[in-house]
Amino acid sequence: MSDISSLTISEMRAGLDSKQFSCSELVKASLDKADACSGLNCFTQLSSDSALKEAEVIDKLLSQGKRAPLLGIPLGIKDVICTKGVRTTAGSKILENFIPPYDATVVRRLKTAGGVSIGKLNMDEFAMGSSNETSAYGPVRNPWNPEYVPGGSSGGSAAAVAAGICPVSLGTDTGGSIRQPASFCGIVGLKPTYGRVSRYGVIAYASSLDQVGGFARNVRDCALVTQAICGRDPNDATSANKEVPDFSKSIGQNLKGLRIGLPKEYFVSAVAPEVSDALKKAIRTLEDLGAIPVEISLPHTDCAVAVYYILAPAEASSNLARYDGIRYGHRASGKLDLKALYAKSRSEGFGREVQRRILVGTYVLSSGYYDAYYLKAQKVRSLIVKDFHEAFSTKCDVIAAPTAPDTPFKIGERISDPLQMYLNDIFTIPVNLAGLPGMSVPCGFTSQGLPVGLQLIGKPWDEETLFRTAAAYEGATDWHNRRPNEKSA
Amino acid sequence: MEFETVIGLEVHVQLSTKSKIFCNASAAYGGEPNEYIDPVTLGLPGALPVTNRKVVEYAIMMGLATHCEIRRFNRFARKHYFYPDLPKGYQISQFDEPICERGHVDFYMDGAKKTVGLKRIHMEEDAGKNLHDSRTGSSLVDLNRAGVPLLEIVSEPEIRSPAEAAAYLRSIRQLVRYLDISDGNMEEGSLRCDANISLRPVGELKFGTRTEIKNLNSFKFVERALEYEIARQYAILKAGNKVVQETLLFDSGNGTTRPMRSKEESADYRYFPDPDLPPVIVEESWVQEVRGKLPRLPAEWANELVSEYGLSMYDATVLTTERAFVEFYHHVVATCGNAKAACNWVTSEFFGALNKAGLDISESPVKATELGQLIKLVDDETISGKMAKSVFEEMFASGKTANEIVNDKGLKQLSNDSDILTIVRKEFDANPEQLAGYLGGNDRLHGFFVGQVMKATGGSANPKKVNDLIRQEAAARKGS
Amino acid sequence: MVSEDEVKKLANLARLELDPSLVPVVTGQLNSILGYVQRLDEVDTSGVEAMSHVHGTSNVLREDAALEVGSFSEAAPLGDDTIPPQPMLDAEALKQNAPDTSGRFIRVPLIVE
Repeated sequence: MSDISSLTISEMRAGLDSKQFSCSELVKASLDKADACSGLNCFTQLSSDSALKEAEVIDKLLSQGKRAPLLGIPLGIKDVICTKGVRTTAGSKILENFIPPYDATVVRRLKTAGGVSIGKLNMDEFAMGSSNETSAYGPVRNPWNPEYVPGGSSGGSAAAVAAGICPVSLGTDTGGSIRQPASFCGIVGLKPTYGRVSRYGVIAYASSLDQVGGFARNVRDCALVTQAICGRDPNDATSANKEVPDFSKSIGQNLKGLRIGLPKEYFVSAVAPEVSDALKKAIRTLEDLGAIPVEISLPHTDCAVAVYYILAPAEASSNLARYDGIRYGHRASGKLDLKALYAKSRSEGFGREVQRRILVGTYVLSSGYYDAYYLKAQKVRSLIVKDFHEAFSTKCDVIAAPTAPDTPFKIGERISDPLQMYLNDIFTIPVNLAGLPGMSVPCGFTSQGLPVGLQLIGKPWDEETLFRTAAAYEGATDWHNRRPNEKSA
Repeated sequence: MEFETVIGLEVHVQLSTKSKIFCNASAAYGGEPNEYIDPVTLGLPGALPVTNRKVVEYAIMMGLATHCEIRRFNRFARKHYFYPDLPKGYQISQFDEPICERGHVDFYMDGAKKTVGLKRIHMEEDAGKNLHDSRTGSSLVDLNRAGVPLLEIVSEPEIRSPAEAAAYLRSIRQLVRYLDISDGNMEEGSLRCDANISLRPVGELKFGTRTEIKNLNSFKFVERALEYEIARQYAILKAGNKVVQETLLFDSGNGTTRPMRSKEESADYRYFPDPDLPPVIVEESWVQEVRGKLPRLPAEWANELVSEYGLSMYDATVLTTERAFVEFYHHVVATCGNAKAACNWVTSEFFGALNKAGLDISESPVKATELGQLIKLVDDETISGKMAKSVFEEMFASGKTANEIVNDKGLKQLSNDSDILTIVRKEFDANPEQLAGYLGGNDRLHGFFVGQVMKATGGSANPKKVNDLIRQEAAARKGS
Repeated sequence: MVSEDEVKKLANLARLELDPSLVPVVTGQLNSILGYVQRLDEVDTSGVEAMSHVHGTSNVLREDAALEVGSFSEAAPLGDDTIPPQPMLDAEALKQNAPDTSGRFIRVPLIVE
């Protein structure tokens, strides 16, 4: 059973439906691959027993002739998403033994689509990070070169797919946490429009920015997993009452006349030369496919990181106030009075980056500072939204840009300077602030063999144009067929 | 130097919705500890709030009933503090955009009309309950109440005495019960009061330093706590010292106030709009829809009772104490057409019987229309007023109607003139000595003959007719 | 800029215990971040509305209905598009994660009022 875990979904579908292999064999292959790649530290936990049990059930359904797009497909779920009865840690010590009594809506949707979760994927603690180095369960390693970071915060989700452990996985994206790891791991990652996917059961970091999305090795698989998780949820008041189109229909459509906006603020000298080069080539490819590059301006781009690092920590400091060791989670031991119990439990349970952001968030919300920081940031956010709105309504149909200004860096290289790390997110953050859909597709490699990503940004609710553009680009290139060296895993 | 009292009340009203404000867990009172819980109530990671439409509706109702402006664009805000009965580490409330503002409450005190302005009404969630056990050094947390919807009603500091505070509180309670949005039960905690109180020299416009007394849970405690606090502040100011701004608890055991230890540091609640809850826009059409559903309110009822039915203000006040009372009364009048008689019957016989039996009006064995029927029987002289009282007792005990009882027991009063006259003549003839005395001018013997006729008829003769016919016959006999 | 004292106050407000030896480092890091976000002061936001909800969503309301444990089946059958309401929980679910309970209650150190 040679490496069936790294087949595409269509190939798995064909194999399962034609009985070339069973779901149990497929899931076992995934679990075996996960073991073989354990050095990458992609998983906070593997659910071998339950996955194999589920596979048995699915084999019966398959033999009864039941079919569904994800039926029998192994996948991983970022450990920020609640899975009933299965430990969910958010990459933190404070939830080391937390067992959710309920499933997140996206987990339910994957179940009804027939997907089989093989385990929970490692991540930056509480989704705060861009390199998967803040996890309480150790860093995740990039399958292309294990000395390098896979990106974050959904590092485990990206690495698992890139390493061929499973064809798709779920991650979350608040400031780039799907797109940037997709870029660093040479795979496809989509953050849907804010409100497309339910946040119910997704451990909150920044409520007005968080969205769940899928990773895959190719655009078609990404469309399948995205389709499975989208849809209004009455349990999430911020989930949108919008019909979900059939995303797969966008694949194969041509790009003739498609206006691709190139924001001049995103193509600046601060971008690493190898990224710049790969992007230039990608845009030429799109042009060859009939698209029309148009220079646009998003004037408030240089405010985005500042806005984000006021709003996100503010919301996080609020969302993390519930972690006090009283109803669940880590509780400090010893004879402590109530106030000390709170402080000790939280300080023992939260890592440095999380504590730092809580302090920033507490500051910008505190009386006397709220207007100057939080309120100001929300106003500038409106300006950023307006920038995109103007570009989309007058100049272009989709925006292309680098996903990250840099290529993957070595583990430990940037961890001591938080601000440096934050600036990594400069091209992804504005998309979250404006609630737009954003996708990263592989568009090249550095001379050291590390992946570079092309970011596509769409109008609200227009994931279809992203799939259309990405699929056409993929059809004209070969990046998605490259695999990390087996030995590096 | 004379001081005047300045009091403002913050009243929390628990709404009687079926489910909590932000989730579908039951909002019922009195379940087993931690029975009504779900991921939202527990503040589990990943849980999200969704607003209960009925809570917004109830808030609009209360706003309209208190003449408030209803805000169009409403948001919820997070109010942060750490406490074991607050699962998320923040309370979802409203901050600078409350749903109702600038209203007022009118009520009567000692016959005079008073008006207290309302600063604002907003929606928020309740916290859970803590039970303290100092023996074991631990507290026990029950989250049933966490998430139950509250309206917080903040008055302007326009209340001038503890008695006025209690009267204001009573009228708030009356309103929420009329609107049927809360049972306003202070003992069970569905109506709670925090009081802000300060003193200032008479004529001074600036406010003095105020203290806040929290969690007063009976009308009596509200008055007593305020009385104590006024005296305490007065003594401080008289001595030339300054009142310390602090939060206090009322010790009902010894009738004093003492500072709350946990509120020593001033709180920074770090309010910001809750990103999980989209704004609630209350269009004029929604307000009109709710306005159409409002029941008639106490003030309107009282006005009608006085101007249309000719009742005294006192009686109107008694009858409008509860919506159920005035609606009952209204039906009685609709049946018998005699407002004054209905008032007498309802406020004395009927309420008396309910109290004695320990029944709530909703459990009354006598329906309003039945009482109305009874009054009609008196008015059309079928039975005497005195007889009616015992018929009523029978109605209350058995649940039978007046007509049934009167017919069953043959209680129709004898009203036929010729029948009564026959008996009058008989009695006159049977008592010649008394007759002579009566005809001779001894009017006291009139009562003797009334008594005789009543005895002869087993008490069922129409007293008025008996009176009239005795006089008539006497006159006839004198004449002859 | 924040002083070390202010940082200690913030930590208290957020119920975080900062190791005294780390306070200077944390203060420095916070100041670097706060110094960076200060650039927003230069952006002209006169007449600009603060963002409320990014897609202008409003009036997402739910009907008033109390659910009980087991009101809805938690089964997730293949192809089922519906999302049931969130589940009501029982005492077992609470006990599974609560570090300290006493009977049906959650137990904490004595709260002093």
